[in-house]
Amino acid sequence: MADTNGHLYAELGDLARYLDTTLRKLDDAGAPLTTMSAQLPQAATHLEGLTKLTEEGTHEVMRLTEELQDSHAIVLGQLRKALMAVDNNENTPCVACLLRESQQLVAQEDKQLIGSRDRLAGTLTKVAETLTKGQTGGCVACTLTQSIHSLSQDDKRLIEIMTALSFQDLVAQRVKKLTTIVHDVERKLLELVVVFGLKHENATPEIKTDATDMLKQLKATNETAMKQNLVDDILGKFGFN
Amino acid sequence: MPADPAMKILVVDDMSTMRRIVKNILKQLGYANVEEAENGQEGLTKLQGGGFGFVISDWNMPVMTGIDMLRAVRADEAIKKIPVLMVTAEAQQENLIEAVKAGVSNYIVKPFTAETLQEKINKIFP
Repeated sequence: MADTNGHLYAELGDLARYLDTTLRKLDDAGAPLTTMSAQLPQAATHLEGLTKLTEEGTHEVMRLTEELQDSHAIVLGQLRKALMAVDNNENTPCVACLLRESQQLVAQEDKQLIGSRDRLAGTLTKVAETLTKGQTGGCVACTLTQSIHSLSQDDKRLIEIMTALSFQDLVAQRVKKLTTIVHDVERKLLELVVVFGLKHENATPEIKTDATDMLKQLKATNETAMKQNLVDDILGKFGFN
Repeated sequence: MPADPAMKILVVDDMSTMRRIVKNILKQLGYANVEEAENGQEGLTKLQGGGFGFVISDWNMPVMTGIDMLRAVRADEAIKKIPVLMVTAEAQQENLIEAVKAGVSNYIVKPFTAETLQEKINKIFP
């Protein structure tokens, strides 16, 4: 009986020491968990700030691109008028005026397209000088056509710049999903802090949350997203031309 | 019937950058009569107001998604014939099939080019 009691006390002592060690370990783990859960809102704020920053930057590039497009539209209109005037042998000084105006507009454009702009401005100046000296003819019409073609090519590049900016939308959508995940992790971490990690990994089954969905969506975006040609193939099977 | 350049077009997207991009491309393609909506609900209300000939919509939006708006459009006798082009980052096969079942007129995955948008408009308005 005394042996049994001694053994029981020894077992209880071991158990008490084990509980004490465990509680101390949980205390140690509690501090970093609390710090982490406090940092997560900052992470979410930084992510949201990232979206705002890219959005502002994108809008600024768009604004400049739209200014260039508007300016190109005016220059193109004037060049076409000038070409028509040359073709009809109309008053050449007036054509020269239109060209000078176009040249000035092109010269004022943003420095980003400097190479293309300088070539075009140079050509327009030459045409204007030729016209002022009273020399008209097929050569001038040719040069005007080339200038119009050159500007049209630049317009295509400007549209490409605009469409390339759709990266911001894609980035923002992914950041939004990440923010949802961060908020969910933050909530779970706070729960852990409260219960000192008693509910952990295998203790509870996976709970379906927004974050689980978002993680799946992000994974799917990387692994199974279709390209436009595949979309068109499938649409074709549904009878879309 | 080819698209009328004066046709009123509604661009529905919660991202201002995307609305601006689509609007800009449409302008370059000759369509200047463009209105915007920030989500499916706002889009639906504008469509029910009348006058629109074409809709370009995103899928993922707050308040009402693009696919829900599409279903609501197709269920509304007054506006059900308006062509709806979905422009979205939702590029999973099941999304596309869901959109086809809901009555989408065509589907573009982001990122896209101006040529793709023009090609789809030409297909919708042959």
